[in-house]
Amino acid sequence: MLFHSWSFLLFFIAVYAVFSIRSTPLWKRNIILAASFIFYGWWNPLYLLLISWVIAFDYTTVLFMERTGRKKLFLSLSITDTILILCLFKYSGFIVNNINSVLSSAGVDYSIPLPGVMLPVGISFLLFLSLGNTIDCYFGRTEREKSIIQYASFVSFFPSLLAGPIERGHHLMPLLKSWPEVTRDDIAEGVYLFTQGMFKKTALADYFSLYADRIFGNPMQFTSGDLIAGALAFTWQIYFDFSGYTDMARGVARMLGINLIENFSLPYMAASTGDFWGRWHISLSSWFRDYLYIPLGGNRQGKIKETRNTFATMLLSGLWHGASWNYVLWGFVHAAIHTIGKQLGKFKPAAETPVFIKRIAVFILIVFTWIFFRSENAGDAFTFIERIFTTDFTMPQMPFYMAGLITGCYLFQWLKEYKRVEFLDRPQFRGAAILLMLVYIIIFVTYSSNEFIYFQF
Amino acid sequence: MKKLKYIVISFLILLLSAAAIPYILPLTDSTIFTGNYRIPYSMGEDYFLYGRYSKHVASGNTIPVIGDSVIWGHYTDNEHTLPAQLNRLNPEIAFTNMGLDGIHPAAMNGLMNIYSAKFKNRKIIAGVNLLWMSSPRHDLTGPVNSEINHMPLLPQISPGIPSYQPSFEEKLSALITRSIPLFSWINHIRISRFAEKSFYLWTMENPHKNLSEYFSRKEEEFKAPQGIQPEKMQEQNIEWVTTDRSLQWKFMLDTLLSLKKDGNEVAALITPFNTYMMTEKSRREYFATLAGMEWTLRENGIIPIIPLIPEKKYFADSSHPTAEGYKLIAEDLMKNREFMEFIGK
Repeated sequence: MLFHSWSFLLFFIAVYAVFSIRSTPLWKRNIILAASFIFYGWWNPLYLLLISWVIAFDYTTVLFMERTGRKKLFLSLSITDTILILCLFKYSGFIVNNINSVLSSAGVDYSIPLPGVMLPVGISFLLFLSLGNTIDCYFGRTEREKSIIQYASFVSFFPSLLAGPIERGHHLMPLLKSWPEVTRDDIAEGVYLFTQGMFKKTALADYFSLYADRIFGNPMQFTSGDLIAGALAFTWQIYFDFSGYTDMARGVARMLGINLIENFSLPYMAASTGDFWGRWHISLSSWFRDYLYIPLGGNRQGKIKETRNTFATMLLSGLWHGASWNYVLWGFVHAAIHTIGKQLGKFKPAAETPVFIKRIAVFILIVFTWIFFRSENAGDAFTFIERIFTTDFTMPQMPFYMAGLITGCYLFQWLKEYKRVEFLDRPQFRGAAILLMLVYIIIFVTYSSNEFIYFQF
Repeated sequence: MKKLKYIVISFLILLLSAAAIPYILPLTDSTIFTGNYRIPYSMGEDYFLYGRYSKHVASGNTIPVIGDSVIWGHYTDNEHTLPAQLNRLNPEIAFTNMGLDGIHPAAMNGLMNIYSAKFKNRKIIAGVNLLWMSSPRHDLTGPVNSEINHMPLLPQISPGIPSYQPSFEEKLSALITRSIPLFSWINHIRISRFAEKSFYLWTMENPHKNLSEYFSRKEEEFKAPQGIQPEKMQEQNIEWVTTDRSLQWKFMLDTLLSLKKDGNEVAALITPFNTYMMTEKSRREYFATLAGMEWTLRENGIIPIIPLIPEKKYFADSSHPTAEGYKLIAEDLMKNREFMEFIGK
């Protein structure tokens, strides 16, 4: 059940009607908990076994952490459980493929059969959400949730269940417990966010994907101009796809009175790679920062350890995105750029470079890193980049209209960054924007059932 | 508070426009619905246009001839279809071509129920083509087929169609889009006014063209395809689906009975099938099916008209006559006492 589908619209209307019957927090929590299980089970009823296991296991480990005082043991159990689930559902094929490659290169005439396990939608998101809370309990940053029902409503909260934002227990759980009154502003903001997200997904991301898919599908067929344009198209596709989903998720939650954390803040306006990670998929970046980078020592133990920590964090972040070496490479490239950029920043000319030039330079680097992310494999990514520099530059076959939209989106981000379009947040402009976006979708967008890119993670 | 006010205003504007625009601004030119007009080939999926056309026909006094591509005239132009040939043999325009290329009885049933204007107390001729019973695939009783024509017109809930198994979302989407006139109007605008149904796909195919070209559609003249040469027609064994098992026949009968229920006099014109392209066994089964259909139709108060084509050269394929074939059928019908009585001559 995609957010931008008729099924979801009907589902949400029905849930909202029941949700609004009574205003007690308990009633609201129970309705949303039931709705969340229906929402997740709609994809595949078997997924409910997985989510129930995650809820029960992590709830129990935190309970035993408190009761027995053997915190480390139970944290280790929770981490092991998370890793095992990920290995089974997400990485088993990848692991077996790599073992087979090693066996083959060692001349062993045997290959392990591929496991063929289905990948439950949004598995990495819900596991990280639950594990994050366990770690917070371990460090005493959040209190243990006494009720398993309450904990279940936190892990399964359907607006953010499939692709985040990856919430923190200390932010979301109290909200779900006391369930704030839904105000008119909540409804207005929620409707606006939802419409904006739907527009980003159906009118922009799905359009850009038509061109990006064509180029990345067979990079050998294209020359420099098209390859650059294809990388640009994917750069904006993935941004609008994911931020569109996040807007819809936040919109749905807001209509229910819950304000989820922001996940994007004009990422293509970043002036450094560190800045980029503070603006892109903020909830995941901060998860890795708080639960991996800082516990590893962060930047407090000298340059070598800082570099090690950066690489470890980025490589795992890459692997989190997908079971393929090109994601690992993507993380590696980010870590390398970040480390080099940090060193360069210490030199005077780099420090004195105007910020707008830094923004453009970082944007170009980010476009290149997306090539590793989008390519089928690492070999394709290198071929893609090599061909950008070694083939003739010809006029790209990117539609003028798409090029115009991309240029417009980029300029709009600049204007937003420098707060030149704040007047658009006035209520009357927002009302008009909703009308225009819906009319545009109705007239120009043919029915789209494309899933969101981040669902596969 | 203010925020919500403007959003509510936006939604009200949208809802009012959605409700009013298809009626205030239909963007169809009803002056072309004259003579031997038929829904253009390229507008075969423009159900809004079909609705407007049927409304125009319902307000006139000609006899509508509904049906599939045989009635529409797939191998000929507007002026040589069966209704056109019948009009030629009459002093004035008495028949209107309401056929639709590619439609089959199940979809026709949906088209008449959802988009067509109601015909009451009129004479109506409905084309019945046995092609739709010539295999389980045609009959929609075979395995799941994702290439069925006019899927949005098929029943989404009941009765179930073995060949058509859409997802819940597809069912819901079809049900919602066909219940809200705005969606069929937008489809009409896309088909009739724009260069292609999807703006985005058009830009992909014409990356450097001026966008204004998308909004200035050039009507392409329908070029009737060449039929099979008679000497190349080969006998085939046809897996007829019998009337007691046929889904398409059930839909056809349902359409005919619905029309009858509305006080119309209904004649079922069972268009000739190319028996020269059948094995002896298939031919025997074909005639047995025809006899069964005739009996059922009469039993239900529907007049069966069964013209024949004497030579295979008058067929363009297994079920479509050539222009000459239509002429022969029209002449045959004008000699048919039951048909003449039906049209009141």
